[in-house]
Amino acid sequence: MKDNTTILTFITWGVLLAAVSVLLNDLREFDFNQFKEFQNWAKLADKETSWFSSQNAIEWSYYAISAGLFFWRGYLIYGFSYFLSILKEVEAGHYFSDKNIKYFKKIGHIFIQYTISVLILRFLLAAIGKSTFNFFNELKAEFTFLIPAGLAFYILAEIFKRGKEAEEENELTI
Amino acid sequence: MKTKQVFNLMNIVSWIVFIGYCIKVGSITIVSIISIFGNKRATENLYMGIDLYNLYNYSVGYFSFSVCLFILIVSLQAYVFYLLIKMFKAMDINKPFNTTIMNLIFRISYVVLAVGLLGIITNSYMTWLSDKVSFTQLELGTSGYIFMAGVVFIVASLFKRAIEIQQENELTI
Repeated sequence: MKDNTTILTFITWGVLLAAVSVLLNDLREFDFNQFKEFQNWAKLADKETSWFSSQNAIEWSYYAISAGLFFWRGYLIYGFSYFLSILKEVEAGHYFSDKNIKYFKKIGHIFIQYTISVLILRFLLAAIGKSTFNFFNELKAEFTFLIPAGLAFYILAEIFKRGKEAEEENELTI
Repeated sequence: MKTKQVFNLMNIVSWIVFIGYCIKVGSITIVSIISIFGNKRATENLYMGIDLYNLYNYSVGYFSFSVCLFILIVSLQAYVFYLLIKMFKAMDINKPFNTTIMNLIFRISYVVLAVGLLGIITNSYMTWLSDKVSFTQLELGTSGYIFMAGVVFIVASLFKRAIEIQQENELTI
């Protein structure tokens, strides 16, 4: 078991570092030139038009939604980091500890929250005309992996609770 | 949400994903057979916009091997969800620890690992092929599978430990 957890800890670190570097690279490549266009537009804009229907609102929405998407990707990486905590507990021999139950639940929460939020944000991004959105294609990409994984972690948390009960019973009997 | 509800929801999701993968495997297989033995124009839209017409014109051998790899990966993905459905059928949430479930979880981890490894091989093969001929890159979506295989394997090992504790418990009583 110890060997397996060590290998998995290395893989988890690899996944986390790769995910962080991809996120940082995407942030670096994010099109900040559009922000300059937006500043130029702001100088020349007609002050009489309502803010909500203006180009201003659309540009701000684009930045807000993009920031939201980056945030959720960061949050997903944070969720993955809980695996390290679980592995640490397992390595210490606390297989069915309260912490593990809590971490599994948290990972499940984060996976599902991420999927739903990203779906909504991508829909909004398409609504302001900055990208295309096909509900089934978007859902299919996340649905086949993150939603089942998220639900599985919820169930695992519950199963670990049963494991903890069995362990406590065992200790009491001895 | 109550565990029972999550359990049922997960069962439904597994069925939906399993059926989705089965449809995918079926349609790719049928279109590939039609394109090899009938109309080669079918390769222009193998499955939801996958265009392998150039690859087919370049070499039928490369085309067949790529399609076989793709079908194998999707079939294994479908098999993972079939095992999940089987596991839900066998699992009693109040008494989850038994050897049938443990064996199923171990098998899931091996199949998931196979999907991950095949994904890496297929991606490398596709990159190598794309230098020779331009075609639509297949989106396999297998990047997370090796990591998940590890997680599932650890979970299966923990199940084994829980079964040992349970058996010890029963013996003591």
